[in-house]
This record gives sequence, C-alpha cells and structure tokens, in this order.
Amino acid sequence: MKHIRIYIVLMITCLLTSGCRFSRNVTVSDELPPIYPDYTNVTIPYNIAPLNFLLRNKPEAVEIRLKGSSKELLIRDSYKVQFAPKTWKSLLEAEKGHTITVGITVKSGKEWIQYAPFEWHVVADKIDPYLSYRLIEPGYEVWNAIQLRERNLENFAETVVADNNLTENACMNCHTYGNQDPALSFFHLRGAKGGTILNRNGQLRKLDTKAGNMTSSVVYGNFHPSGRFGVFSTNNIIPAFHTHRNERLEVYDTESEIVVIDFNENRVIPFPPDTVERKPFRTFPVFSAQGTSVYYCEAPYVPLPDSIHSLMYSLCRIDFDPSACTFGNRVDTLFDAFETGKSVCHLKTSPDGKYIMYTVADYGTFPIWRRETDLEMIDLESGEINHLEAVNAGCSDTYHSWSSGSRWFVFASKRDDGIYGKPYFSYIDSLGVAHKPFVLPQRDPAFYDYTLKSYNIPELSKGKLPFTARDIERIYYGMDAEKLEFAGK
Amino acid sequence: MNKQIQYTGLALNMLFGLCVFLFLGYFYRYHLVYQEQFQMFLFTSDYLAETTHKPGGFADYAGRFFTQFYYIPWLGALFIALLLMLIQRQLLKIADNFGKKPAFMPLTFIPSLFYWILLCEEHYMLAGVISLVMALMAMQVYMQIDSKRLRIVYALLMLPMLYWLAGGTYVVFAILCILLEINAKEITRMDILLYTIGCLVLIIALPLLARGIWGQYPLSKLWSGANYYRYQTIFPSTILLLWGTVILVPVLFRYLPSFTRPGTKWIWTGALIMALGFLTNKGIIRMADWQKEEIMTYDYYIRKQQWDEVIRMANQKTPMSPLSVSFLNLALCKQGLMSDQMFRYFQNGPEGLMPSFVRDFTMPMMAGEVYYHLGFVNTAQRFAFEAMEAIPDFQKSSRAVKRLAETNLVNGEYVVAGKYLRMLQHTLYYRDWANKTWTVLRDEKKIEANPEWSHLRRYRTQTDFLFSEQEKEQMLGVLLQQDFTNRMAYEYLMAYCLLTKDLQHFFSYYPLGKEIAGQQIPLSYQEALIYIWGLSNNDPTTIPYPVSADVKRRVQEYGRVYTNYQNSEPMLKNQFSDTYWYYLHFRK
Repeated sequence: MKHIRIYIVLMITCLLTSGCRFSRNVTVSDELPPIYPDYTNVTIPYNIAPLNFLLRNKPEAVEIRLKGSSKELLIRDSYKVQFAPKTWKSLLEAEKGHTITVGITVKSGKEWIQYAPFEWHVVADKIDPYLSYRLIEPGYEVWNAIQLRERNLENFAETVVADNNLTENACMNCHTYGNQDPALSFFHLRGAKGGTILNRNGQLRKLDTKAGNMTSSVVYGNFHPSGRFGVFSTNNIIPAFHTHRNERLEVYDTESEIVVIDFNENRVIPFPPDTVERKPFRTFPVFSAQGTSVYYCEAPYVPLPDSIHSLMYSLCRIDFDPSACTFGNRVDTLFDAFETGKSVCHLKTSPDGKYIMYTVADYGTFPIWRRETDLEMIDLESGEINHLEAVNAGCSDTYHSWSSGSRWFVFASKRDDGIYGKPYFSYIDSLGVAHKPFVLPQRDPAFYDYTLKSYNIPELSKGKLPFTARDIERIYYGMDAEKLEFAGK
Repeated sequence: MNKQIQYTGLALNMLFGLCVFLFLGYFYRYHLVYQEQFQMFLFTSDYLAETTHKPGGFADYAGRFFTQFYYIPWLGALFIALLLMLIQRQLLKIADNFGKKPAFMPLTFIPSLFYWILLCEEHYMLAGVISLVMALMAMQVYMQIDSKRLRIVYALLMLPMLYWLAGGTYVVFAILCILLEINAKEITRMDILLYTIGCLVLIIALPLLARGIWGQYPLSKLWSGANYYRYQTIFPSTILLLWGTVILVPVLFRYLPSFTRPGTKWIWTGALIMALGFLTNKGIIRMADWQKEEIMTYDYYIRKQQWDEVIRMANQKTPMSPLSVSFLNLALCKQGLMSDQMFRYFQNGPEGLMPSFVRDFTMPMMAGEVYYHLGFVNTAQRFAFEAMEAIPDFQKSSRAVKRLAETNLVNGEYVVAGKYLRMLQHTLYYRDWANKTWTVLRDEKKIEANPEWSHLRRYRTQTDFLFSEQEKEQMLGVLLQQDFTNRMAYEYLMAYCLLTKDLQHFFSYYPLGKEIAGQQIPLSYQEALIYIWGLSNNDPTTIPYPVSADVKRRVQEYGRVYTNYQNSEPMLKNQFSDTYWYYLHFRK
C-alpha cells in the first residue's frame, strides 16, 4: 500500500513536471524574436483584432509577457501564438493611449531563450472597423475566383459581398467607398450583364457608364463628399509582360480621360477640351475633401509601349463647381513628374482635407509590380512632401485608403515576398508623422504562408456594407443597366 | 447453378477490374498523369476544411486524394478499378434486394462500365465516382436495418448527411430507398406516400438551406454538390443518365423473369456479357481520345526531360499538332539534333517551335516548357501562373507551383520561391523535391551546382523588354546577343527564320553561330543556304559554303522536278519531304 502511494506521488510529480513549461535557466538574447508577421514596435488602434503571430524557429514552448501601464498578462502557447479575443480586447481597452511591452521567452531543446522585448503602442484613435478588399490571385491576364470581401477589423469575421461564381465568372473590380461610409460605395462588375454597381443608402443601382464618345466605361474613380457625383477616368488599358527577373506585368493606357458622373441626373460631365494637338493621358481622379476641386494624374502623350519608360504622370488639380456641374479652367500642378523624376498615381485625399496621399514610381501608371513603388503624402496647406520612410518597404506599397478620422490609413504592400499583396495599417499622429505599419491580423498566423490570394485595393469603412453577394447576383441577372447621358460633344 | 453464376459474377468483377486497370494504367496512362497536374492535394487541416466545408466537399476531397496517385499511373488505375468494381458489387447487393435474378447479374456492371467510358474523357472527375460509392454505401446500410421505422428514420437522417458529404447522389439514395420500400411492401401505401413526401421535401430543401449558408455558390452548384466535371458551369447530362442506370438496374431485377433451366440462365448471362462487352468497346472507342493521349505522352516526356523518348516516339509516328511538334523540336534541340533533323519530321510553322499563349489551362502549362528551357524564365513563369489560373474548377496545380518555385529560384526571388516550396512540402509526390530544394534556397553555390538552374541563370534574359508574340525572332536575337555561345537561342533563332520562310534574316543571322555550329554546317542550314545561293546563281554547286555533295546533288534533282512540272508536290513528296525546300514550297 505504502509503495502504491509512493508510485502515485511519483507519477503525479512526473506528470506535473513533464507538463511544466515555465521558463527556467533562461539565456537572454539581445535579438528581437523571429515572429511572423512582424508586429515588433508597431502602433496599433485599441479596436484591432488580436495580433496573432508565430515564431519562425518553431520552439517547443512559448511564454509571452504583456506588460502595460495597468495590466500584465502571462500567456503560454505553442509556436503559434493566438490570443483569446476577450483577454485581448480588455487589454487594449485598458491600455488605450499607453504602451504594452511584449517579452517573449521560448523553449528550444533544453534551453529557454528570452528575446529582446518589443512594444505595441496602443493609440486611442479608432480605426474604421471594416475593411473591404478584392481577393484575387496576382496573375497576368487570366483570373478564376474573384471575391470582394468585407472583414471586421475588431475580430476575424469576414463576409463575401460579391463573388464571380455567381456572375458568370465575370471579372469584378475593387470596391470604393465615399466618405468611408458603407451606405455610399461602388464597384465595377464586368461581363455581359455587368455595369457599375452603385450603393447609395443600401439601394443598389447598375449603371452603364459608357456614354457618348467615351474611351471606355469608367475605371478608376472616387465619390464627391455629397455622394451626388463621382469622378472617374476612362482608360483604354493594355497589358504587357516584362521578360526580366523581378519585373512582371506592365499596364499602360493608350488613351485616358476624366469625367464626372452626376448620379442624380444620370449625366456624364466631360473634362474641359484640350488645346494641345496630342491629348495627354489623365487618370486616377479624386475629389478634394470639400468637393470643390478634382485632383488627378496627367502625363503628356508619348508613343506606347516603346516610350513606356518616359511615361511620367504629374499630380494636378482643377476646380469643380458642384452647383453648376462644371470644371474650372485653370490647372495647377502640385507634383511635377519631370522635376522630381517620379511618376504619380493612385491619389487619395484625407477626409479632414489636410493631406493627399499618392504612390510614386519610376514611370507609368501601373506600379503595383514595381519594387520602387512607394507612398508619399503632400500637406495641402504647406505643400510639404512627406516621404513616409517609416511606412515604405523594398517592394510595392500602394493602393491606400484613409480611415474616416484621417489618423489611420491602409495600403496594399507586397513587402513580404514581392508578389502577394497584403493590407497594412499605419498611423499618422497629430504632427503628421507616420508610424511603422502592421499587417491585417489573421486568426491563424500561418495564414499568409499558404494563401495564394492577393488583397487588392483595401478600403476602410465606418460600418458594414448593406448588401450581400446574393444581392449582387440578383442585380447582375435581373436588372438592366441604366444608361447615362453624355453632356459634352 | 446459382452459386456457379455467383462465382462467375465474382470472376467477372475481377476480370472487369483487370481490364480497367490495364487500360487506364498502361494504354491510357498519360491521361491520368495529365489529370494529376491540375490539382494540388495538401495534407493540411486548412485544405481539408476548405474542401469539405461545402456540400459534396467530402467526395471532392476523397476524389482529389485518390487523384494524386495518378502521378504513378498504375496506382491511379488500380484505385479507379477498385472503385468501379466496388460500385458493381454494391449494385448487385441492391439488385438482389429487388429480386434475385442471377442470370441477369451482368446488368449490374452497367453503371461501372458507363463510368469507365466516361473516365476516358479527362474532365470527368473521380469525385463523381466517390460520390456514387458513398450513396450506395449508405444504401447498403439501409438494407441492413430490419426495423422499417428505424430504416425510415435512418434514411431521413442520412439524406442531409449524404448531401453534405457526397453532394448530388443523395437523390439516388433517396429514390432507391423509396423504391426498395415499395418493392418490400412492408409499409402501407399511405406511409410510402408520406415517406416519399418527406424525402422530396429534403431533396428540395437541402440545397435551398445550403444556399442560405453558402451564399457565394450558385444554386445549380449546390444542387450537384461535388465536382463531377472539371468545368464548374457544366453538369453533364451523362452523369444524370448514369445515375438513372444505378436506379433502373435494381428495379429491373424486380420485373425480369426467373429462369429455372440452367441452360437458359447461362445463355442469358453469356449474351448479356457479350452485349455489354460490345457496347463498352464501342463506348471506349468513341470516348477515348488517342490524339490527346499522344500529346499528353509527349508532355510527360518533356516534363521529365526524357528527350530520347520524345524522339523515339516521333520516329514511330510523326507528330502533327503544333504543340507536339514544338516538343519534338525542343527534344531535338536538347539533343543537338534540331538543325540537322528538324525537317525530317513534319513542321507546321513557328507555332510548332514556340507556341503562342492562349487563355487555357492545358496549352500554357505545356508550352511553358519550351520557354523555360530557352531561358525566357519570366515567360515560363507567366505561362505556368496563367495555366493554373485557368483551371476550370479553380484548383491549384502542383506542376505549376513547382514551376513557379523554380522560376522564382532562378530569378533569385527566394521568399516567394519558399512560399511555393512550403506548399509543396505538404504534398505526397512533390514533397521530396520541395524539401531538397528548400535546403538550397539562398545558397548561391548550391544553385550554381545545379546544371539546369545554372544554365538558366546564364542564358536567361539579362535586360528588360516587353514580351511580344509577334516579335519572337527579335526576342531570340536578344538572348543570343547576350551570349553568343547560347547554342539553343541560336538554333531557335535560325529555326524560327526557316519556319517563317524568312530567308533574308536567316542569311544575315547565319554567321552569328559560326562558333556554335563549328565547321560542320547543319543539314537544314545547308539546304537553306544552297537554296539562297541558287536564287542568284545558276549553278548551285558553286556555293562558297561547305555544303555536302549529297545536298548539292539533291538540290539539283529537286530543282529539276520543281521547275519542270506544274504540280510537282506529289512527285517530290516521297523523295524530298525531309528537306527544307519541300517545307519552303509546300507547307503553309
């Protein structure tokens, strides 16, 4: 009997000690832990989903100490660290406006290693809680499954808002909000029964946007703050393929122009006629935050594709009078491509009207495959250019969108591998300084390793979209596209 | 007597399995290899969850699981044979429940034979077979339940489960259950009516309910569930017909006569075997596509870099399609024979040398090999990527992902190459390669030690230009200009000029390859040169190039016939169809 007791005690002791994962005999390292995604020393909003991560060296056990101003947590996990949503939420709520120090200790073989700690700066400025994006393989000309999805940034919930499975495999372009308002958005649905799907207060319309002698249906665009107008480019887009190592796809326009669409009157208002013989290329238009001018990119004509490397777009502005529905007659150049040697595209004005953010590349109008592509921002009051050094990486950083509070923005970056774009979020503080960005967190931190999808044009919004993929299916098959009247010659 | 027929049934089942195995595993094996490349079965929980989350997903998952074994055709054929044999045995059991009619046992082979014929077309997916096996298995359990109430409860519970696991064949199960009850007459007519209504409600309601959960799938897809056919928007009526035979055959057993005389039984059995054998033979002849099998064989050898096998195949039967001719030319070039021997085979223009891109999942996958070996690494990458994108059932392709890993590795894009390798590490047949390649990532010395990768790194395009289908000649010129020892680029450039009949450029490029060609001028160049010389000189034998006496003699003979007869083509065909002159004058 006595022996049995001893055995039981021994067995329990063995079981307890074998399961024990407390760090002991720790070796201190001055290196940061090899975590993926890189969430070291980032600024995060208090309403973001758990920043789950994994350790690339796959240790046997992991201890994480999260030390904030009022709370301290000790978490033990496998090499994949996944935080409990409730714990995470209460931690961030408690540490709003403070810094959390993250200490990671891992068990590798018989030894424990304590890595250098890093910080999470939790800011009280909320990020818009929804993000929409197009999921597509980063291909060339061929596509298969395309979905527009909406992700709740406060957790991991994701819904499909459009799926080409339901629309005869037609291509669909990315989704754009007006004022980051879920009740004001559009996207282009291609295919035989396609059109521009306009969502205004949850009411969906389908528009045939090719009117008069327009080059094409509308392509890149943005809403007027009133929601009545949209400014768009019409482009004759040609794809071409690079043959050299890191170069991939080139896309250029053989023609492009800007129009404004009046959604109330179903009318297309053309850009003022040109006085030069060779029409310049104009694209990527956006309204100013006040809606009284249009910013756009303009490049003088060059023969393409031969002179593709000389295709340089400048950032320009022209007045727009929403009451008279007319453009002004003076064009200002805010960023001269020929002076700076950089070509501009993808413009986005901040909702508070202070900044305009754009992408710069060496040339052309399709920088998503070019490694030198970076984000920049002009202070519209001072004209000062912010090169956003803390934000940009070695691969393409582009397709950005502001949060409604103008303190956060999201952009698509290929920094991980050069091919697959992912949404990164960056904070702009009150001094206009941008902070190190972090990637959209996923429930499974290995998610990005195995997905073959790229996140195209991520856009933030204040709320959930009022339509579903089935609504889009119904509109695709059951609604005729409204025709627009062309107000010009 | 019945026992004898029963044993005959077993023997027949095995004979049938053997025939399927031999046909698919030996005679038609490259169809299996071809199919394997359009999926990437991953042993990961995410892949399992992603595949099985929708109706019919489990059948898809199991179908893909077995399809990965097509990589080794005899193994793939074995699994198909076993599954088809199983269907026959399952159906025999069900038919016996409707009435034991041993003489008509061969009829239970009909669905299996039908599926064998269908599987000759590469777009019929194994998920369909699995889906049917699952429905018949559910049916077998149904037949084992003695209590009629339990049976009905089982069927009504099994229907949603089967719908989720197997997809559309839940309808087959429901119909068989009802028919079996009608046949058994154990429950009242009213109960049968209520049972039928219950099943019908479930049959209709399940896809509609599924639509509420998986709103991103069209209703038609939710009705059929599993992927029976590679093209998502197509649900072949042949599948419905096949399901019809699965229902009809057991019911027939209820009405077919029972013979008492052994002789009559044997006559019926024998006659049915012969009739079914005859019809299957006809069906296979109609459905099997041997031209495709030939191209798939070429593709297999090219993929495995078995150049000798390609040439051996061409020697047995000259390839005719642009794709297979391009494979032959690649093999000839790899073996250093192209410039001498290419016109010994049928040539069909520049498309038979460097095929153009088409938006398809097959052609770019295959044609990409030519660009890869030439050093157009980015083009090979594009072809592989686009082929994978074009796969109609939206699956990924192990072959394409492997190629993408290779092209990125050659281009020094190690992070993205690593991403693809990480995926391949979860496959069965590409794992070893991926693990091995993983160890050389970022190790420039080891990469250089690999003859294929170092060759590609040396000869790939070093300057950037935009790929143009219309300017292949210029692109080959750029490759050659980068390195005048690039024999392949030179031979392709010369072959391109010969095939486009651009003798002016051929003549101007010819001196560029003196170092490569050496003293001996390749035969096709000799033929082209003597022809060019002959255009401005009456006596071709005075040509200042080392053209062989035989070529000089033959050109004179060819010229004599060509100039003296209006319709000289048939006369020249026998003797000169292996010359460039014949191609120049008579091939489009």
